[in-house]
Amino acid sequence: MNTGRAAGALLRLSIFNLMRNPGRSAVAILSVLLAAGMTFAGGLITMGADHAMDVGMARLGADLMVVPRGAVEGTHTALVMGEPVAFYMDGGVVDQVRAVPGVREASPQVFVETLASAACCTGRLLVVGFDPETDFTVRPWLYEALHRDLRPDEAVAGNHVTMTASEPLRLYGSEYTVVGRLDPTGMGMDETVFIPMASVAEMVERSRTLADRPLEIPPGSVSAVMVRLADPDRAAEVARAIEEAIPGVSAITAGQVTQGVTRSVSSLMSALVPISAGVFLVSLLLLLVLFSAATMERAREIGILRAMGATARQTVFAFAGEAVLMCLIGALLGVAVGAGVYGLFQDLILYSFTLPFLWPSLAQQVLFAVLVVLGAGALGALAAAWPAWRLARLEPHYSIHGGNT
Amino acid sequence: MSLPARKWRGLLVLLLGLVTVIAAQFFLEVCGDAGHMLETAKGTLVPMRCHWSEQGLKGIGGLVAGIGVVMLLARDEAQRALSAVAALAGLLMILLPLWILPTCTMPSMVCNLSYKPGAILLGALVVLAGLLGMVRWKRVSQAA
Repeated sequence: MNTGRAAGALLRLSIFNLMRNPGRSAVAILSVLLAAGMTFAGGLITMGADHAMDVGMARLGADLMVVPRGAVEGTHTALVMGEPVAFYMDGGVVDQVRAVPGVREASPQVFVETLASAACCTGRLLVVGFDPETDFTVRPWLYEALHRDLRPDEAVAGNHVTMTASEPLRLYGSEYTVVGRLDPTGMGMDETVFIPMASVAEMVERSRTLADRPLEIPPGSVSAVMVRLADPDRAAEVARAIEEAIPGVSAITAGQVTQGVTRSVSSLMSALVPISAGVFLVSLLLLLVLFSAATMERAREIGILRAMGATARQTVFAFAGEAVLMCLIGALLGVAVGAGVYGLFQDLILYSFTLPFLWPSLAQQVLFAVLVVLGAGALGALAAAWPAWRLARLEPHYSIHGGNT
Repeated sequence: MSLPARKWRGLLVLLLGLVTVIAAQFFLEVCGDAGHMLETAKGTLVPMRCHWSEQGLKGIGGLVAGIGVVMLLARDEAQRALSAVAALAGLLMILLPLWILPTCTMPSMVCNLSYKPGAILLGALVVLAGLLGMVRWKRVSQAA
């Protein structure tokens, strides 16, 4: 018998054995499905958070963000999730920041927290007023996509904001046309609407007569100062210098935002990893028990295989193949179910744990899925090989007669 | 087909219907549950459309539970057709938040975080249960 035909026969035998006991196979497949699904979903979240941080921080373009002291937590939530926030400090801070050694560029932003539903079902929005003269976050994109600056009644929206040009955005009685949508970043920018800072001042004025509740922003104040450094590696040092030079402000480095996200990922994983590891362990034990029992039950079959000329190794392959096949089916289904359920509850998970997320590339997803499936296959081989090997080493006559010579 | 098999499928559909009603009533949240309402020109606060979508899900959940009860009582010959009806009801549960009575437009709204994925997941389970009932019935009838 050549190797190819032998392998085919062994595979057919494995499939037949799987079908012979569908209940046992279903239980084993289900346990592997759970473990593989949780592992795949957990891995996706980690990879997606990393990817979002890379893309989002690059798009933000700032090495530091200066905000009023006490607004660090709110800024983190706004940056990562786009949760509306409103805090203000004196606009003179911008020049003070520019004067700090190591600062290359500084651009102010004003945050506006919208009232409940601007129109039907839009939810609350974070509106950011940027300074067209100094901005380096939105303006590069504007010139690339629109080839011009924004007019006073125009806005640019993050990728998840669903307003269109035909549907004006109403904010505190003023109407804005959304003329463009930024590329997805997986971070708070996706939920943010950007308008020129001058438009914010006009909005404040108009809100006194047009809005249900006037917008209160102290004149000349800003919410945050985006800072670019001459040497980004000195971010922590310059942040300290800014906090020492300007009273009442905090400087947040890009690294601190990343650390915050890492903490959020860790807190999610601290719940997911033990459960996933536990399910994996239970799957391994279950497979060990199932295959130990199955090989004992089928000692006669093993003996006959050996008597017909199958080597001990081929016999082990037949049994390990059955386990590997079962684990591969379970893992493939698990990857599909894990991705599906995560896809459905993605936003709920991300909002609950304040996590950014941007789907990793298809190649990365496929590679990770293949790793999970192969890992599960290896688990199956590990669980079945040992009991099968023990029996395959016995004399065929002994196996056929169940130990009664 | 044996009586226990018929009961098992009817019980599964009944259970999924009840879970849908209970989940929609107590666990799946829409914007109104988080205090987000629409203000009319007169100043009256009214629920957003996701509220009505959730009401619809409760109705379909009740219908699925009803199909489950009928499956428990009906003759073997009716099981396949009833499973198909349950699968269709599951499909309705999926289409409800997506197309029939769509949830609010912003992905970050409460209804999109909780009610929508929950309705789709429950709908998918009902579709699977319905399809399973149809496949098993076919196999049994072929064997008969």
